[in-house]
Amino acid sequence: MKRFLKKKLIIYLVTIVFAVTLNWLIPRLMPGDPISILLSRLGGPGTDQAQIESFFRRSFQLDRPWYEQYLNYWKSLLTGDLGVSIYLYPKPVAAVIGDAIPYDLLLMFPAILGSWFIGNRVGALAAHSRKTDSRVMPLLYALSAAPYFWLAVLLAWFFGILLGITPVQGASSIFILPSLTPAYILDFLHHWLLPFLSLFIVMAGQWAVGMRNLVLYERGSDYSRYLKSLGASSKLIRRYTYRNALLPQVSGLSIRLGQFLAGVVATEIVFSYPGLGYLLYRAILNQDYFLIQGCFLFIVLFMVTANLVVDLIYMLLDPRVRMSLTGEEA
Amino acid sequence: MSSVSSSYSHLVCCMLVVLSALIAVGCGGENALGTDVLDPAQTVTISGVQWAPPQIFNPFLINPSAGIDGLVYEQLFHFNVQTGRFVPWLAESGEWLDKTHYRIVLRDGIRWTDGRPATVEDLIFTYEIARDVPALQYSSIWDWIIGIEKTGERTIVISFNNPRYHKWDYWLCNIDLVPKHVWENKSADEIMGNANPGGVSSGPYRFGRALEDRMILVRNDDWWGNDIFGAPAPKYVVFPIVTSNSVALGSVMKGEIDLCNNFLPGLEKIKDQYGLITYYQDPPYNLPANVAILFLNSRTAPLDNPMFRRALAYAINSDHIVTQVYGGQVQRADPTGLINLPAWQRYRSEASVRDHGFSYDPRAARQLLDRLGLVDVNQDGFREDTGGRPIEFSIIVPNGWTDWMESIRLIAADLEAVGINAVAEFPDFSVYWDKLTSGAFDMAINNFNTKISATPFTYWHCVAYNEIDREKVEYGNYGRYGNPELFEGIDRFNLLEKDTPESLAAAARIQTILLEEMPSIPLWYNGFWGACSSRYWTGWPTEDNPRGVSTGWTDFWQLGALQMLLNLKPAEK
Repeated sequence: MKRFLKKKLIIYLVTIVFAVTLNWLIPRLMPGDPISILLSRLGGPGTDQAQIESFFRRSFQLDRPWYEQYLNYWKSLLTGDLGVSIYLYPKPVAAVIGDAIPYDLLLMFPAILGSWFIGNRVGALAAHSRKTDSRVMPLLYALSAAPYFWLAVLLAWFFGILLGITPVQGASSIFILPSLTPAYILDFLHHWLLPFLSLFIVMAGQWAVGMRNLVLYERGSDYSRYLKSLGASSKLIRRYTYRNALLPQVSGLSIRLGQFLAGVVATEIVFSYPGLGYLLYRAILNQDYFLIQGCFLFIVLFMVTANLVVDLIYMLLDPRVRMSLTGEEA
Repeated sequence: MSSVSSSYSHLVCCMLVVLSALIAVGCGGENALGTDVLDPAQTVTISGVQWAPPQIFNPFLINPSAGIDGLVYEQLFHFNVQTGRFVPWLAESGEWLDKTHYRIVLRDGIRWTDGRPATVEDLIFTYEIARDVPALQYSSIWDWIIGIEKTGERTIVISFNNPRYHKWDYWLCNIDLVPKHVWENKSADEIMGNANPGGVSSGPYRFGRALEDRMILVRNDDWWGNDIFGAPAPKYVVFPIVTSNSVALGSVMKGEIDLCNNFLPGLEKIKDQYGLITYYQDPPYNLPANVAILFLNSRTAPLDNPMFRRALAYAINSDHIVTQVYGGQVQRADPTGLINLPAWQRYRSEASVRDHGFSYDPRAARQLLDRLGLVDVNQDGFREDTGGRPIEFSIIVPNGWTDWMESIRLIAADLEAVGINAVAEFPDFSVYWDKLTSGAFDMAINNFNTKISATPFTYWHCVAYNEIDREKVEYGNYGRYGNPELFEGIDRFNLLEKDTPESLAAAARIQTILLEEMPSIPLWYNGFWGACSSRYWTGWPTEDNPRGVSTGWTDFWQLGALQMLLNLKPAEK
C-alpha cells in the first residue's frame, strides 16, 4: 500500500512539475502583448503611454529576463501566490479563480456522478432487455458521440430561443442578486439547467454505451454461464455481472475526466457561464499570463487529484489490484 | 451490499460539496444594496457597456467599470454634443483670465458620500496628485502647468507656461474630482493598485455591487445636484455583461434591457415591431459617436506613396458598407473625418474638401494607379508594381467583430475591382492589436480613439499621433505616417486660442494636409447604438426631445448620457 502510494505520488509530482513549466511557457509563446492590450482602451490625448506602460510592465515584472520570470513564478507559486490578473487588474488571480470554482463544482459534480449512475444503470438494463436495447441505444449512441458544445448550442436554441423557457446566458437573472433565498436558488437552477443537461446527456450516453457492452461481455463469460447452469436466479447473475462490469467504468472515469473538462470549458463558453472554463477562455483572449497560469494550474491539480482518488477507489473496489500492488498473495 | 452503501456515502459527500459551493455562490461579494431582488420598475439596465467582470472602481485607473467615471465620480464640466457647448457641472464657472491663466470656481454645496464637503483643496489635490504620480492618465498636463493658486473660498487660478487650449478642454471634461482626505498620503502603488470598491465619491450614484456578470450602482440620495438638476428617477443602474449581439437582441425583444448599447444587426427590421426607441426614427437611427478609419501602413511600398493611398480612397465605396453591412445604422464619413456635430463641424474647412476631397470614383482610382505605372503585366487581373512584381495586401480586423469583418470583405472586393489584390484577414484580437500597434500590417480598421469630443483636436491627435518611433504605437496613427509639418500644425492648433481666425486657418491647413497625403481613410461614423425600451422608462433622447444621448459608455456620461438618465421618467402602467 505504502509502496503503491509512493510510486503514484512520484509520478504525480513529476507530472505537476512538467505541467507547471508548460503552463508558464505556453502563454508566453502566444503572439501579442498583454500590457499592450491593457492599454488598448486607454485614456485621452496627451496621456503619457510610455509612463503607464512601464508602470504596468514593472508591476507585473514583465520587464525582467525570462529566466528570472520563471524562477519568480516558482517562488511565488510555492508561497501560494498566483499573482495579479492583468485582464482583471488589480484583482489577485487566486480570488478570481476562487469566485469561479463554485460554479464549476455545481456543474461538474452533479453531471459526473449523475451521468455515471444513470448511464451505467441504463446501459446494464439495455444489455438485459432487448426492448430497451433496440429503442434507447441508437439514441444513446448518437448522443455519446455528440460534441458537448454542439449539444449545448442545440439545447440553447431549442429551449432558450424556440420555446423561450430557459435563459441562454449567465448564471442568474439581471434583477436577482446572489443570496441564500428561494428566489435566487430557483433562478440559479433555472440558469444551471441547460449547461448541466448538455454535459449530463452526452456523458450519460457514453457511460450507457460502455456499460451495455461490458455487461454483454460479462454475461458471455464462464462464471455467468456456470451460475446459470447451476440455476441461479437472473437477478443474482445480473448483480454479479453488474459489479464486474463496473470496474472498467471506474477506471474509465479517470480517463474521461480530461475529456470531461474540455466539455465543461466548451459548455461554459456557449452559455457564458461564469466558471473556470469561461474564465480561461477570456484569459486566453486577453493574453492574461497570470490568469491562464492560474486556471491551468487548477485544472492540472484537479485532474491529478481526481485521478488519484479514482486510483484509490479502484483499489478499494477490486481486491486483486490491491493485493497485486501490495505484494500479497491471493 | 457494501457497494450500494458506499455509493450512498459518496452521494452524501458530493451533495455536501455541492451545497457548500452553492453557499459560496450565494454569499459572494460586497453588497451595499440592502436588497436581494431589484425591482425592474426602479432599475435601468444598460447592456453593451460592461464587457469584463467589473473589478476597477478607482477613478485614477484606466478603464474603470461602467458608470464609475461620470455617475460615481464627476468632472468639472459636461459637454453637450448636440449644441457644442460646455455645461458647468462641479464647476460653477471656468474661464481664461488671459492667455496663460485659467480660473475655476467650484460650486457651493458639493458633498462627498461620507458627508464631508468637497472643496477647492480637493480640486487642487486632484491636479497635484498627477504631478506626484506620473503614471496617471492626465499626468502630462504638468508639462505645461506651472502652478495652482487658491484665490478664494471656492476659486483657484491655474497658471500655464504654454497652454494647450484643446487638450485643456478635453481634460476639463475628463478628470474626476477625488476626495483629498481619502487619497492623500498614498504611494503610487497604493493608488494604482487599489480597486476601490465603495470608495468615497460625489456623483448621483454610488457603488452598489460588483458581480461576475454585472455591475450595479445605487442612487446617492444625498447627491448635491438634486436641487440643481433634479434627482434621477431610477434607484439602480445595472450594467449586465452581454457580449453576444444576438443575446442582446433577445433581451431587448423581451424587454429585459432598457437601453441596449450593443450593435444590433437588423435593428431596422425589429425596431417598430418591438417599439424600440432610437434617436432618429429613420436611418441612421443614432447620433454619430466615433469614426471608423482604415489605417494604411505608410512605411511599406507602395502604401508609402500618397498618390497610391489616394487611389485607395477613390476605390472604396463607403456607402456600400453603410447599406450592406449596417443596414443604414451608420453614416458615410466626410473626407475630413470630422463628425457632423457642432464641436467638430465648426472647424471643418469647406475649401480643403473642395480642393482636395475625394469620393467613391473607381475610374479616378484606376487612372491614378495607371499614372503610377502599376499595371497588370501578367494579365492575372491584379496590378503589379513598376518592377513587374505582384502586389498583395492584407486587411485586418479582429476575429468575431462581424460588422468589421463584413466591411473589409467589401473593401477587398472594391480594391479588386480596380486591380488591387487585397485579402481580408481576421486574426484574434490580441494578434490584431499586436500587428496594429507594432506596425506589422498593411491595412486595418480601428476606431478606439476617434470618439466625438469637445474639440477636433482629439481626432487629429489620433490620426496623426506623433510618437511613431516607439516599439508600440497604441494611441493612433498606426500606419506611422510621419510629417513634421502636419505634427507641428496640430501642435500649433492646440496652442492657439479657440475659435479665432488663426485657429480656423490652422485647422484648415491640417485638413488640407490630411486630404493631400491620405495617411488613413475615414470610412464611416459609428452611431451611439442606443436602442431603448419604453417598458419601464420613458423620456429617452430623440430628435424631438434632444436632451442627452442614449448611451452608458464610459466617457460619455459627461457628453450627454447623464442628462439622459436625469430625464427618464417611470413608464405609466
